[in-house]
Amino acid sequence: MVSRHSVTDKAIDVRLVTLYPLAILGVLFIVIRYVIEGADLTFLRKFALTALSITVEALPFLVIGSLLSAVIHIYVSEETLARIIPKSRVLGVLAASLMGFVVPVCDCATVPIVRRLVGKGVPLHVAITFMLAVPMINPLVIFSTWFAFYQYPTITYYRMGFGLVAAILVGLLVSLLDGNQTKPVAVGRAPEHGHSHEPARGFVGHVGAVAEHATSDLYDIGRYFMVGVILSSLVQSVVPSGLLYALGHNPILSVLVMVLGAYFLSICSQADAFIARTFMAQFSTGAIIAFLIFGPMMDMKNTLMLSTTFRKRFIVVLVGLIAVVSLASGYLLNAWIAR
Amino acid sequence: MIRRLRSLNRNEATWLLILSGYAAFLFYLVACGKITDLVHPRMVPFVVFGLAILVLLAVFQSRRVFSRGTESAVKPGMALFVVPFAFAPLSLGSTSAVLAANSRTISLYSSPEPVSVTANISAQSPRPQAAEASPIPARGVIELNEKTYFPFYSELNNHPNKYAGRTIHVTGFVYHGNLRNTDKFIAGREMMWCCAADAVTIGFVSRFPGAAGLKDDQWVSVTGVLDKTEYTDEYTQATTVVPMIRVTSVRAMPKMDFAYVYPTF
Repeated sequence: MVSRHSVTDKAIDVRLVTLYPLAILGVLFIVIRYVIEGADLTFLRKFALTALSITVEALPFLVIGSLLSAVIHIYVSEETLARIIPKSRVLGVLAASLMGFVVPVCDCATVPIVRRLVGKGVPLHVAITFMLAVPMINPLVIFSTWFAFYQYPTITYYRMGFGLVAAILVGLLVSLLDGNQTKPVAVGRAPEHGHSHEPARGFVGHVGAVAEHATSDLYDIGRYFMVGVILSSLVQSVVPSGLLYALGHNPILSVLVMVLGAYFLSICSQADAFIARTFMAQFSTGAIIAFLIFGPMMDMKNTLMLSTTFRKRFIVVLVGLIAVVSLASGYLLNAWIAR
Repeated sequence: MIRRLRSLNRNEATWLLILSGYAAFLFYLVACGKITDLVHPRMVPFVVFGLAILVLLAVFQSRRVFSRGTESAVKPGMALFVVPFAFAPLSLGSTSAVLAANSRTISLYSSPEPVSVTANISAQSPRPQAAEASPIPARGVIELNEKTYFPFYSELNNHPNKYAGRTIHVTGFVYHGNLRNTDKFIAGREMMWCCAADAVTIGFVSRFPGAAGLKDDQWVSVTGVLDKTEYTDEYTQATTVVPMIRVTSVRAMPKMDFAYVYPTF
């Protein structure tokens, strides 16, 4: 556990460095806008408010996810996991897709848990299905969707149905991928002072051990989360609000636009139904559903957070698979409705 | 063997500062009520829980500040955590109205039955709502306040005809949007679904002879009689029937304490 961290740690920091130019560009952009627009701070204020509110909203869930991840790390052994996870590929994926009823958390909390599960030797397709399905197929999200689309209950059925199928399908497709490609880069990071793995003693000892792992998880994932927040806030303050609407007229483009919107806006899956509701009058039902199933499965900050664990190629393939399945769901639904 | 002296580990100390900084900031937000300017009230318990965990993490982190470490240099990734903080004074100082009027989506609640059906409109048929009890009292002034804004607003927009002729009183900021140079303005509010990043502007179209003379962002208290009108959305270009207030009195007022409308469920 201890020895390999110095290596993976460096690898992570090198990959993070590649993100700095982006962040610097972002800050430059803000400065240039400020210079051009003079005293008008509206753009900057919007960026600041967006970044701060997403952080304050999502940080508790990131912390909760890190805590759960630490608890799994310390108290759930590889053997236990291997025993309870079905051996069969299909059964494993099916079981993982319904875990949202056991752990009803949204996407910020699932990434730290998935990292830990993969580190514990849980089959990748099971972990990925868990990550995709839990933020969507869970009681809180079902309720908020039902509430948001109170007048259109079919939207909730479509979301659950297509969402479940999409998560299972992507999970099964992942299980067919070449093992080399899907090998995780780094799994968890022990604190760099090289602690020993003596069994924790007493209450304080136990809490201390959990805290130590939670804090390093929080740092690991948190910095990618922060890059995601910064980029997402930039997008929200730069892209004119009307653009998304303007493109919504086209039946083909609308589905694509909504998937792109879901990716770049990084809205929490507990809130996205309410956002989608405001698009209802203009966008096709397929576009709404594509938005509602793609968003919880993948967005910009999740992509960045996944890069703490997986190879770039795998992440690209995964995002691609999710996009294709979501787009297909949207188009199928539109075709079926128009029939 | 000489034991190495424990010295300050700058990396661990920086992380402690960040953890306690976030904890202190969240505590400040919750303690002085500013938290609901950023997130929906129903999210506050999660924030408090997150705050408690952060305090716990900070306490245990403090034990590592003087630990001997192989690398003590501060990791560059730490800087990222400071960004939302660095801009915090700007965002907390700003009012929602300023943001809304200048750069936000204005989205008047679209009524279930659009007037003009665009080619690509949803094929879903709205659920009939006739049997449901109205949240709006049968008589008296329809008063939209902190508690009633969202339920009343939804009801009025779902049934633009039903309440015609009733007297209504709302507060909000002046927003012209595409009603500029007409005798109408929107008495707008920011509605937060989850956090300030997802807020959208909602409001009532208000008809008033001096509408063009009102300044955007000015908070007003509007009283009038309910009517309805066709409203074409600035962005979607979809035309829907929405309630309209025939203004009998409009007066300027200071910015509201509760700037946001929170949908309840």
